[in-house]
Amino acid sequence: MIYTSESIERVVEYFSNLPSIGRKTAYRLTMFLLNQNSDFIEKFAQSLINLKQNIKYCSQCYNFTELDPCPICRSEKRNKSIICVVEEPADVNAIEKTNEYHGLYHVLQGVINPLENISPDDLKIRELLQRIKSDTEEVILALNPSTEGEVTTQYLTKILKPLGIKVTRIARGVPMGLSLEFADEATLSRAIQGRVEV
Amino acid sequence: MIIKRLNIKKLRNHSNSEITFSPLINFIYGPNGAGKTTILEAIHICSFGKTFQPTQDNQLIMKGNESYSISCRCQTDLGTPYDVNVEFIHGKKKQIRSSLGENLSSKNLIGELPTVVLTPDYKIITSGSPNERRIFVDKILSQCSKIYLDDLIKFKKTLKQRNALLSKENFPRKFDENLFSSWTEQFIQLSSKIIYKRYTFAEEFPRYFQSMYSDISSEKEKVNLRYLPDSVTADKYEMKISLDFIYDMLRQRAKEIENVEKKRGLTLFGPQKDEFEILINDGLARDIASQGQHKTLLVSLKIAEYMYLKELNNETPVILFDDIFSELDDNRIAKVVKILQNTDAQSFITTVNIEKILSKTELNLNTKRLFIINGEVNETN
Ligand SMILES: [Zn+2]
Repeated sequence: MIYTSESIERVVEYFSNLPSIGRKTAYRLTMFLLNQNSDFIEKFAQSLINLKQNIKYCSQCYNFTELDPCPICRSEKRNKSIICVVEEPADVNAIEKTNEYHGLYHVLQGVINPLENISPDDLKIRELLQRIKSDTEEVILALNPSTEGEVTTQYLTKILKPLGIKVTRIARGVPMGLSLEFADEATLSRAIQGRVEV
Repeated sequence: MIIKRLNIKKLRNHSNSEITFSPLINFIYGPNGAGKTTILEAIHICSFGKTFQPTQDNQLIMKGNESYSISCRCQTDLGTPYDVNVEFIHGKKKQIRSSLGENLSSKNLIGELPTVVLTPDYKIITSGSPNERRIFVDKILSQCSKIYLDDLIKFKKTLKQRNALLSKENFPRKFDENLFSSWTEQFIQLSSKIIYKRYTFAEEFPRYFQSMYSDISSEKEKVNLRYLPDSVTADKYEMKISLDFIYDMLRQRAKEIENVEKKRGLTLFGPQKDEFEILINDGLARDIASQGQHKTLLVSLKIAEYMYLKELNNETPVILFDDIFSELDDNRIAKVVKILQNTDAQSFITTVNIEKILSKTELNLNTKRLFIINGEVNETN
């Protein structure tokens, strides 16, 4: 499809680069924007610019944040002796929603995947080891039950155990093959309560 | 499971076929290229998410169209309805819906509408490489057990990952023992479960195979299927094999072979190297069976697969026989049809020459005849 205007074409192009957006949807979204008033468009554009400018990784847990350290890491109410290790920032949100967990997080930013050339050095594993202090009592491994997630759990267990801290993993209530992000809150709550020592 | 109704839209040369079936034998006949096999393919897509032919989904769409769709109305053994809908739009992800839910993957379909398929291409099961027989066994076990299917998918992924890691270790960089042993541990855990399941299969399946072979064959040969797992020694075959025993043997093997694996950059042990031998009079069928024996072996294996699934699964499978009667002599055709009628199996049999079958067999009233021409279906009972 070639549109009559290059401005339209360019926006359609950007939208179709987004995940799960095809050209038809991209076109519909573009038409929607065209019908909004300038104020909406300006705020929308500015919010995108702010997104990139203001968001960074927390220097402690590697979650997205505007303030470093992030609100969770700086909160007085959190139990600083427990660290829950997850793959992605979205997993932090999923676990936070359960209201069952009051410790800290550590976002690995991925899992070990030789086929995609992701080795332990590419993940925030060194940073995790540096974070573990004398007052750390427990590390909870809450990775997805994929092949790569399982192996990353085993790998972390191997290097954490010699440090003399309690290492647990969340229970397998999570349906096989389902990402944490999509597990319902009840399932996740049970999985966190029912974690087992490894 | 019984398939009651099938709707095929824009699949190969079927523009819009609505077919109702007999709960017993359905003969699908017509000239070559009429669209007989497409009906079996449509059923197969509803039970495995893909066709049994080596055709890409893009190529299955009727010329000049953008998509195909299939919907299948079934009835479970308990009498409840089970529906499957598969829609494929060119260049998009296949949309699968069933009574189980929306947005399913092929994995979710497998085992729900269990299916036994036989086409002339399957000759390789008795005559081809060990891989063909592993595929044969895995297809049976995957339909029996969601856990096996899940373990198998994870196993294949783990094997690929472990190989990728091993091949990378050939490059000069520091070798991470912890990482290698984590992948090995995962590999051995999954391998043990797969080998254990295959052992159980090999204990039960030959009984079905032998009884089918002697029913169909007029000779008195003895046949068998024997499991030879890689790295798990067979002289312990007498005792009841446990999961722990297999795990320990694989652990030991992993240790012995580790250095060679690192040198070769490849996983050198595990169930991807298993063999299932098909024996006839204690010789390997692959080497010594005659043409006629191969055909009888194959059809016996397939009917045994049906019997095995019927007994071990909660749901009775359906049978898809694609043009196999042209391969068998009259005597064997009559025997196969008789077995299908005696077991009340719902079967879908394509053939060019229906007269040949009708003249040799006594069909009961519930048999349905569907004449296919240019992708159109006509009932001729
Ligand atoms: Zn933080």
